[in-house]
Amino acid sequence: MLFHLLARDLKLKYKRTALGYLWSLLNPILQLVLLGTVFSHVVRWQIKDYTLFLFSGLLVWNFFSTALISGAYAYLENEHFIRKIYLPKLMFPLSKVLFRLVDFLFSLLALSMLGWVLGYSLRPTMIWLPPAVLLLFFFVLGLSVVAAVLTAYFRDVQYLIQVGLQMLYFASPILYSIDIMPVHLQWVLRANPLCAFLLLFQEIIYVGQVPTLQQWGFAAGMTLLSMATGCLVLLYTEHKLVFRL
Amino acid sequence: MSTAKIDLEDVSVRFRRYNMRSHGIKEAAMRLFTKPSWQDKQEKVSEFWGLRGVNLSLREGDRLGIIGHNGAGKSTLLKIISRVYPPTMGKLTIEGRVAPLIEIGAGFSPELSGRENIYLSGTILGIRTKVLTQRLDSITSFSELGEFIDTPVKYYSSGMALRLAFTLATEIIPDILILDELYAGGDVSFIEKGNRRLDEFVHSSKILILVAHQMEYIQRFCNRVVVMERGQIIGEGKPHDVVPMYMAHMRGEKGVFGAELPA
Repeated sequence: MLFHLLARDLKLKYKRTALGYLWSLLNPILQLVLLGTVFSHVVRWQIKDYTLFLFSGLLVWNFFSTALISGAYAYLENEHFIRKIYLPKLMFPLSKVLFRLVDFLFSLLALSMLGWVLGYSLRPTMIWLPPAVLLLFFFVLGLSVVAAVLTAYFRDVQYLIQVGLQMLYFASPILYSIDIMPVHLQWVLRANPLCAFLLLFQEIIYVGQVPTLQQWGFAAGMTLLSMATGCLVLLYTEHKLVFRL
Repeated sequence: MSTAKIDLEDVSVRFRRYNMRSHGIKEAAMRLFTKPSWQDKQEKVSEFWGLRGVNLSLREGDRLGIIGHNGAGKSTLLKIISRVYPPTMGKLTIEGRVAPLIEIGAGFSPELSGRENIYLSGTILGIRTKVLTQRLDSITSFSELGEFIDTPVKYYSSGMALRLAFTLATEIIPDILILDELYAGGDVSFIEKGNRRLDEFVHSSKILILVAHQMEYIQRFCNRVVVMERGQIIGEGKPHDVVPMYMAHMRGEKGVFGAELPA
C-alpha cells in the first residue's frame, strides 16, 4: 500500500509535462545556476567553488522544505481514505517523505555525475553520504508527522509552515557559509536544527572531510528528538485524528 | 479459514461540532492558559452523540440490514465497524478483514487511471498487490471498463466509477463486507449483475452489512434487520417482521417500536 501511495505521488507530480521526471533534475540545476550567478558574481561571497558549496546545502534544503510542505498535507489529501477505513496513520506522512526522498536521491546522484563530467573531482568522503541521508530522512519524517497532525487540527499551520520555512531558509547556512558570521554569533545558526544537517552535507561534499563525531552526534540528536516528538504526537492522535478532518 | 465476528457492547460515539471559527490555534492556546470553568463559557464546541449505547453481535452467516431515517446513525455505525471512528465509550471486538464500500467510488484519485486506482484502493482495502495483478482481468471485465481501464478516472462517467468501486470491493470476498447506499446511479443491467454477485457472497457465509433505503434489497439480501433512530437501535428482528413495522413507523404510526424516544 505504501508503495502504491508513493507511486501515485510520483506519477502525479510530472503528469502531462513534456520533460517528466527530468524536471526533478532540471529544477535544482536551474536553481544552482541562478543562485550561483547571483551570489558569486553579483553579491560576490568569498567562497571558493561557490556552486559546489551551494549544491551541498541546497539539495538538503530542497528535500527538507518540500517534504515538510507535502507532509503537512498528508492527512488532508488522503481524507477520503482515512474517513473510510482504518489505516495506520504513519503511512501517509511516510509516503510523502519517501516521495521527496526519491527526488532528493535522484538529483543528488545525477548532479554528482554532472559535476564529475564538468570536471569537479568527487570527494572520496562521499561514501559517508548514506548514513547522513538516513539521519536526515528520519529527522524530516518526525517533523513531517508533527506538521501533518498539526495541519489536520489547525488549518492555519499550513501557512505558518510556509512563512517559517522562508525564515529558516535565510537563517540557515545555505547561500552563505557559517564562517561568514562573526564567531560569537555563530551559535545562532547552530541553534537551528537544520544547520546540523547542512554542516554534515557541506563537510562531506564540499570540504571533503569526514564529519567529526561531534557533528554526527549533533545531527543524530536532532533526529532522535524529531522522531520522538513525531511518535508521541502520533500515539496521542492516531485514533482522534479522523474527527478533525 | 479465518473466522469473522463483530461484537459491540454498549458502544457510544460522541461528536464535537466545531463552529468554523472556534477551530483555530487561538482557542487551543487559550485552553492551555485558562481555567476550565472559564473555558466552558467560551467553548463554542457543541457535542452530540452519534451512537448511544448500541449493542450488536454478528456471527458468520449474518446478513444485517440497517434501516432508519437520514441522520439516524446508520453510517456512523458502519464507520465504527470499519474502525474509522473509535468508540467514545463501550467495547468493540472485530475479527476478519473488513471491506467498506461506503460512499461508493469517492475514494479514487481522479488523475490516476483505473488500473492504478485498482492497485491503490485495492491495497488500502487490504488486498495484496500480487493478488490484484492476478485479478486485474476479471475486475476489468466484470466492471465492463474494457479499454478505459487505462484512462484517468476523472474522465469516467459516474456509472463507470461506481462499477469499478463495486467490483473492487467485492472481487476478493472479504470476511466482512459493508455496503452503504447500494448502487446509487448504476444502470439496470449492472445492478442485476451486482445482485447476482452479492447472492454468491451471501452463500459464502461471512458477514454482510447493508444500509439501504430500498426495502427490496433488505428483504432480498438480509436475514437480520435493525432499525435505528437518534443513534440507538429501536427495533430488531427478521426482515419480514421488521420491514412492515418500519413502514408503519415511517407513516407516522405511534408505538410501533415500543415507547417513543425522548427528543
